[in-house]
Amino acid sequence: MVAKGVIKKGEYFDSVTLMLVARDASKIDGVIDATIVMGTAQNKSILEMSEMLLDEFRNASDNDLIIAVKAKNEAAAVSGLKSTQDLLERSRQKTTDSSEYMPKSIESAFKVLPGANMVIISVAGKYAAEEAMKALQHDLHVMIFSDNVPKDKTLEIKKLGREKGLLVMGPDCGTAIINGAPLGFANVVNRGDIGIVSAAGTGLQEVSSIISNEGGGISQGIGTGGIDMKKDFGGLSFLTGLEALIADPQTKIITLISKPPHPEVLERIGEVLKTNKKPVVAAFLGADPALVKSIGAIPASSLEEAALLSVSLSKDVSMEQFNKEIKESENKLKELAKGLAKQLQPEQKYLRGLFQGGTLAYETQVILKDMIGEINSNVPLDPTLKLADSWRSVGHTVVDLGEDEFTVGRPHPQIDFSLRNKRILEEARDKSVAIIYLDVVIGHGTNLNPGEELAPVISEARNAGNALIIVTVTGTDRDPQNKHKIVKMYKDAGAIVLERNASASRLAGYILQNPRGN
Amino acid sequence: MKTLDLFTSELKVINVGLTSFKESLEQEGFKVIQVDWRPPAGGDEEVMEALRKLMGK
Amino acid sequence: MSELDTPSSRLGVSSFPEEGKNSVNIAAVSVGDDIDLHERRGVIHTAFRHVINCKVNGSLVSIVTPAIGSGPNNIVVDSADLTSLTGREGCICNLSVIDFSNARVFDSRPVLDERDSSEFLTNFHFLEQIVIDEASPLSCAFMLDERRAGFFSTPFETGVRDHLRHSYAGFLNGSIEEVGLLKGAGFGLTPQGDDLISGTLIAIYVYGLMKQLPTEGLRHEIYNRARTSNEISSSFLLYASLGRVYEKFKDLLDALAHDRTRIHDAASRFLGIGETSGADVSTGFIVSMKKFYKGGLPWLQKE
Repeated sequence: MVAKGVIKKGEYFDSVTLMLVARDASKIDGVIDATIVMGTAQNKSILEMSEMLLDEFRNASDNDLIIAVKAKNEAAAVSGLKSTQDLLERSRQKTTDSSEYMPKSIESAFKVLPGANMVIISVAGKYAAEEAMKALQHDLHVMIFSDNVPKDKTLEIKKLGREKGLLVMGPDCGTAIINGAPLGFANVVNRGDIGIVSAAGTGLQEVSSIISNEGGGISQGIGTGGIDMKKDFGGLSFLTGLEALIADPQTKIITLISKPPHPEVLERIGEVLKTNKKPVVAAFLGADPALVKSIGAIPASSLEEAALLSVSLSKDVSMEQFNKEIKESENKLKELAKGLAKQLQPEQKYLRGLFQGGTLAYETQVILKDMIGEINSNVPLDPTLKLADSWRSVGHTVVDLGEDEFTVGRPHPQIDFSLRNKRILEEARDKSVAIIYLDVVIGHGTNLNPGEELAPVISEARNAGNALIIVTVTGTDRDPQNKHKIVKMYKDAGAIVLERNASASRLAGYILQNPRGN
Repeated sequence: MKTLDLFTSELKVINVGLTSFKESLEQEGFKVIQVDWRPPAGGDEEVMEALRKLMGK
Repeated sequence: MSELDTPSSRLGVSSFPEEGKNSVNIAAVSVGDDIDLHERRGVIHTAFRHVINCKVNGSLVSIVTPAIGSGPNNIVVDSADLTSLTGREGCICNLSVIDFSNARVFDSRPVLDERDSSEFLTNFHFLEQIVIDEASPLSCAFMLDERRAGFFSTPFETGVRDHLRHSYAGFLNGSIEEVGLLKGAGFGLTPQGDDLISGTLIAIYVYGLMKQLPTEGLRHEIYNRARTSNEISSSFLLYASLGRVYEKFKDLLDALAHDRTRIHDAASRFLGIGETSGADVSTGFIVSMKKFYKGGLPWLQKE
């Protein structure tokens, strides 16, 4: 047996490498034992016991590396030693990254993903602004899901975005669809030639879903956050989005969604539209249609109408044909209402709308105020109709369960159904209730089991009382939840299910206008 | 125009915050990287102050 | 055979970035509580992909990636690897190129006191079982389960095993001078004997905390006997003797004292350090704690 070895002075290897190389070296033909250790006194004494302590090792220090090989004969020892050294050198080139690196900042993330073009921010409001500024300074577009961003910072970010021509979607922006990608709470929709700018999250979800379901497609769905259209922020994000769609060759039809904008903002939109040649459909829910026409847009009185109009324009359907189709489906709706109304008892008078989506709660109130009269709400159209206690319905009531009083310390109602489920059963036991009205918004970011979590409650509600249960489902067949299955589950449980909030609201209106179907 | 650049390029996202947003994008086949974000200096004003003093600012 | 240099120069950088040349492009995420940030210049001792050790005013300061984690003398920088920062051993390292404005200070003291004693003891056996199951073959975990002794096969390996077993047992029986036989022995850049001693040092510190006993003098003496000219290993031994721990071990102690649901994850992460270092420090810690709780600190008996 022959032992050969070498000292490596001033060379350091991590212990994983040392172990792996020693193991591989021991497998070399003719090698009996191979070891690589630090040249400490103790290791030298162990080497001595193993008959591998060579004279040249005796002066090795604590910091030196000893490579020792024992083999059958001289030739094997020499080649074994050389191979071991080779293995050691080659090991330097191997990466031993075991854990996935997660960058700690936008800057370093940008280094890892150099082509990045969008940042989504959903950290606490007071920190979101700084992150957004960093993103803009790096020339990245930004979506800010966070709310409670200080006002002055919000203005600063929106101004910088506008100056640089970058999208600032938010703060308080829950939904966007960029290049077909669902950002935040968003649905998987078909791509196409209809571009949307929306100051309303669930509004964008509703319109994009209906467009997709009707065979149209979305080029871009730009969200701006709910506060953008107020005077303080001047629609800065909205205007950038609108200009982007006007310039975008893929976009042929432009759809705008918002609550009625501040007059100054409306004027600014009008300015931008002056040089625009593409058809613009505007659902400024509750706004005067004449005002909308005056800025060069086609007014839509509901999200559904905006969606259907946009699809018709995209498909070159004539207005005549469009109106004909609308009239036909409206008649069907009235027939359905008649039949359902017959099920009601005389004491059943009231609507109880329990909403996940704020925009839908708003839209329903806009549609129904002219049909059934005063509606109390925690987000009323008329401030005098504000509910004294959001947890207690009075008369006709519409509740937005996404509001602060319900969401502090708990997940959003689009994710956590428990609060609304409780409320549904309370309303069901109230004999004065005629209709319990529910929206279910599916898509990315929301509850993955809306069928399993709501259908049993609908059944129970139908057993507990005589209230009709109307459900409107927002979403597409391409969403992660199985829309077909969900709709069937709700129907089997005894609900009337539609897939458009405006139609469902009008259905409720027709029923209540003509109870007992006279 | 920067928005047109965005619309005509591959979307590549940096996600700061809720990881469900990253998961949704990955599910639909989009490139996204997660930032392991923490509030600066743990969000603790006293510690930040101490750190600033330490660095002579 | 082509000349392959140390990892640092192979990566094409021959010197640490210079201050002022638009070079503040790397941000510190955490700064160890034993680091004096007024000292900005040092000399590179060793450079790896995930760790750059610098001698700054006589002490070792390590610049590390988040995968390595925080520590009393660690500066964690926000980078997947350190190729943009590194340099040859011996060249100047200038900490001013790092942006510290968003860094947190890492508190390296374990969060433990005598009230945690019973929970700690209850959870201890979980840790022991995890180390026995998951430690790599040539680690000291054979001291927790003799069946692991079979992993050592070559004469050198069995030599290492027997030497460690013997000298560690002697040390824990009260023969403090056995530290001299233990130190430097075994595999790894930080030899296994050193890691066992580190585990013991932390155990003495923790035991002292739980029982409210003074142990500073004892720890100091053990450290003095254990230090060698291996500066990396000696640095770890120093902090262990001061009762200062690195992030992964701090998490493990925290889990043991306060939340048993986290023990497995924390232990696995600690065991992932080096080839056997995590396992060897754990073994030292476990064997020592068990001994102390049975019969007190063995070296103090000799009066």
